[in-house]
Amino acid sequence: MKGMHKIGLIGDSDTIRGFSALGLATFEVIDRAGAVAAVQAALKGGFAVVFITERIYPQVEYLIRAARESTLPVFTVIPDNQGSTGLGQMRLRKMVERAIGVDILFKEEGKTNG
Amino acid sequence: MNIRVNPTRMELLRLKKRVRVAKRGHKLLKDKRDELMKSFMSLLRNVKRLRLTVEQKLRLGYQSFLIARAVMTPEMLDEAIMFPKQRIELEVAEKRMMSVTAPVFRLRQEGDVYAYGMASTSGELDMALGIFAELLPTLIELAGIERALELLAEEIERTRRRVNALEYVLIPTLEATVKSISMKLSEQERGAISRLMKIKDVVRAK
Repeated sequence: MKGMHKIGLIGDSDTIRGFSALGLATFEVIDRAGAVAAVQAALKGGFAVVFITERIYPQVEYLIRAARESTLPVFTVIPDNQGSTGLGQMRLRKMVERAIGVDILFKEEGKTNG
Repeated sequence: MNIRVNPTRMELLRLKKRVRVAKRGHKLLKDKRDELMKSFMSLLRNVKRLRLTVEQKLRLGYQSFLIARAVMTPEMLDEAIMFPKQRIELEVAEKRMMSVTAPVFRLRQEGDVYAYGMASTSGELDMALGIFAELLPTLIELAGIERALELLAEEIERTRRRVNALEYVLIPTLEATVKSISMKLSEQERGAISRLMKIKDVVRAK
């Protein structure tokens, strides 16, 4: 896994436009089938990091989960241009729950002293 | 709950050894879990902070891009960004911490973000691209450490299961078995002694 790798972005046309100018390899996704195809292509294409928008991620989560055994690519959820759905934070919270058993991450802000 | 074994001295010794090993393993795993937890917590703070920054900055970027799109004609915008001059690549290394291997990324950028002339594009596009370009290293960092966090979470869960299995199943079972064997052995011994005493009495009575 050493060496040079590409960075990918899976998203809708409006979201990926700004990033394609930066030199990211972008996959434009319109429907569910397109999302599946994009993820499959991203899995094979020698990517290190693939960003995927929050609205598309749930449709292809099973594919990404299945590929989790391999170290690369790393899929990272980012909000699209319509704003965050909170999925990124949700995923973070799930990780905390898994590791610790309770959700301490977002509680500590809502409550004051237990 | 007991393991079914012969109540012999050999078995007793063997089981006692197993208990010792299990206890040591339990202690080591517990230490590992605590240490994993510690790194998890410190990483968690970073990830949370990074994610909030990323989401905020992305919103800004999208907004200015939207404005750029509104001022420019779609053809001109496509033309401006269709052929990126910048080439980016990621260098991937591995970082191991506590038997978890996480990827570490380093960004290599070449060339310029602004792959177009001044005449046909608006300043808003420059701004939007500037925000995205600035954000990219942070995004990459987030990708790396979020993955590390995920892997850590999985490892913690695994380790905790093993600790619990040892603590609540294996060790108590072994200890109960050790106890029952030693009870049986001492019962046998008592039996042997009282038999001897009885025999002595019988012999002396003659």
